[in-house]
Amino acid sequence: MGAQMKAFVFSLVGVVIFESLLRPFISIFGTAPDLGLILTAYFALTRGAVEGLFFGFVSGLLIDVLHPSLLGWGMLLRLSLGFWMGGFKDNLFLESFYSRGIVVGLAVLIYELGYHLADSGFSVPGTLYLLGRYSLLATLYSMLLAFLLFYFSGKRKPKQPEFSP
Amino acid sequence: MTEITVPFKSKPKVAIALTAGFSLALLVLPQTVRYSFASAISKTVYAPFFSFGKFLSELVTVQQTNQHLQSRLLQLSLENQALKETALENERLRGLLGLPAPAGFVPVTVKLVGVEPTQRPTEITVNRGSKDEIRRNQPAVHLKGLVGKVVDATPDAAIVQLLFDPGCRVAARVQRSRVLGIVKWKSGPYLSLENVSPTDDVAPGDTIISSGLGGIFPEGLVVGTVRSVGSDTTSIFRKIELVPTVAFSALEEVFILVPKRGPEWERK
Repeated sequence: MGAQMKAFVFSLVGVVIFESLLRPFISIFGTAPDLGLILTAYFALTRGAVEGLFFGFVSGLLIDVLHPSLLGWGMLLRLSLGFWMGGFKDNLFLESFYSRGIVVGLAVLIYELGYHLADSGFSVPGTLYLLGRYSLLATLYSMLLAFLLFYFSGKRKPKQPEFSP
Repeated sequence: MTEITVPFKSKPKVAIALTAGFSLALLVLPQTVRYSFASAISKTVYAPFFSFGKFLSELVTVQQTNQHLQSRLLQLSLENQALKETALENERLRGLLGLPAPAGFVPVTVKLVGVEPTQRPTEITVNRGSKDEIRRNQPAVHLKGLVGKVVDATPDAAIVQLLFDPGCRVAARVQRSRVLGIVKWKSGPYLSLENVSPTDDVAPGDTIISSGLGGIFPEGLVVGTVRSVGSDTTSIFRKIELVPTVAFSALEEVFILVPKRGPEWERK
């Protein structure tokens, strides 16, 4: 298994540990960051759209099994967002970790909108309430975590290939 | 750098179709099937972590309970200690109640509030003073015997000079043979009986009591027991060592013998 595949698998394990153990401890007002989407964004923005799609698909499955009433819907949203974020890999100025964080924030907001829309039976007032109550804070929290993730991952410079004339 | 070997890397449309199709298929499954599918995956993937989380949570609960119980144990231990102290104090006070006061004196109970932090203290401070008619030169006694005399009194406290103070003298006699002498401290851990001639009848084990001749201590208060009697017959006086009956390092309550002043005073 290559190093990057290991990163893929470890990130999925990280999502499982986060959802099963850590979520209650870092929740603020009942809201926790969406680590699944943050890591989907990481793979999409650093590897490409298909990688983002697959990570969104698998992490979506792992998260959806905890809320089986909408099993499949979260997966669909996450894989779509993964693919969408992968489109920014070559089309957006991504050296700044701020822009990556903003992409994550947008993705979380879209995901929350889509999920709550389905969760509330496509009721607009219900969705707006859930968005205001949970999603805005979750978006900000996820953006903050994404800033940190991209900042520290950007600090690790890849090895430069040796010059060969 | 090796790329992630995701399937259909070069065919994103196929990847989208497969993953989205699978998701939609899950979404349209009957609820029971969907729930059993989710349950199967959840049990496989999450169960170990949920168990671990439960274990950690229980560990934290046990630790908190342990801390609470330790704190409660300490509290109860302190309460128990205080109750034991109260019981001992009660016992001592019951004993003191039975102390017969010499004629012409009223015993006033005082509690020790200050003492020199030495192995053999020479003075103690007690919690009652001139407001309770305690004055200079009044004798201080304990259930077991003579303690000393008051050397100073303020309205709310008094200082008692103990027998081990070099300035304290007690006119005494041997209870058995009625031989007279003076008890004082010279050196070492014992008191000494002075001014006793080599021919006088004093033996180890004799009880020494106050003679009442000094004008301060009434007659008959136990001072100590003869520990050793010097055998040197050539000197003018014998060297006699006494063990005081009172344990000066463990004093708590003592009586000050206040002279009687009539029936009203006795009631007080």
